[in-house]
Amino acid sequence: MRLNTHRLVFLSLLIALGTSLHLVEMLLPLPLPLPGVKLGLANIVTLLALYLYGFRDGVTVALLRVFLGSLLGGTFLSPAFLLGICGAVVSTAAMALLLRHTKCFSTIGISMVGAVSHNIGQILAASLLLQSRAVLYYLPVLLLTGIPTGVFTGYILKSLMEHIEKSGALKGFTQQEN
Amino acid sequence: MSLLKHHTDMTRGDKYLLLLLLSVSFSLMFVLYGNTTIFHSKSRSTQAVVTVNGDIIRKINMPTNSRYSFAIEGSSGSFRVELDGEKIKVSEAHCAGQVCLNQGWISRAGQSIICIPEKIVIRLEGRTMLDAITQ
Repeated sequence: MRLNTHRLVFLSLLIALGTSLHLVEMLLPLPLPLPGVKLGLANIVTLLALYLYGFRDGVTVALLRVFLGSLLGGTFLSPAFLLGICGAVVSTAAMALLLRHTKCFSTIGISMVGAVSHNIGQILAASLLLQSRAVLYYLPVLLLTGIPTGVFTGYILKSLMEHIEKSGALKGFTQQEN
Repeated sequence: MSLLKHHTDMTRGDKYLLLLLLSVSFSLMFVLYGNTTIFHSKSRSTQAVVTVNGDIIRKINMPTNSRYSFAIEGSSGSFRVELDGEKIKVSEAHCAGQVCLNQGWISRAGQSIICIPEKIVIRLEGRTMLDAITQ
């Protein structure tokens, strides 16, 4: 009972964080004219949810953050929304797979995989949406930009996780991995 | 505690993963972009077409493996056309103006060597930066 309430509260917090990060990213302009290149800050929240609560809750956080983020940002049910959902699902699945079945990757590596798979998922969705293969030509660019952004968000999550542990703020919130 | 039982520093697996992703994206770049002119500093020619009086007498696939030459008969004598890799030129000519000789090597698609009195046109076909120009 206690764990359920804690889990609910914390997941809601994570979703709220993810939503605001999604919105902040919408406002951040890029120095280069590359569409679809984002910092992927919201992946931090998704990955943290995966670490703490597992795949189902991680996917919940990811989907709800795209939902709420696009609702508040004015892109609800737009093409960007569909791409975002697809990217979030693929990215969460990839990160969860790595987390569950391997022990040799760190936060940074998994975050990098998350960013790259998010981009791959988005491009696949875009090519399905536009019924064209031309979008796939953009794949190398997104892969190459996904790597540094993934590493960057990985480092942010790393310091976040270390801080959480040190401050003991989440003593009652974390549950055993199942 | 439960969070820090995961690795947080970069592991060796991460570095391999990074290498894998980088090599995948670079090879993808070669596959996808390799045939476009962005990757070629000049326009590659794929064929040299030699026409005399409007009739195609020879088509040579470019670039050629070795340096070789052949002769064309013209009204003022024989012409020698030489090919070397991506380049082609007229090396011997007995026409009046010797314009074709003076042109030297051509190597880009779309370039041509023309001898008007002999009606000889040597043209390099291939992928060019521009496909057509309207006038």
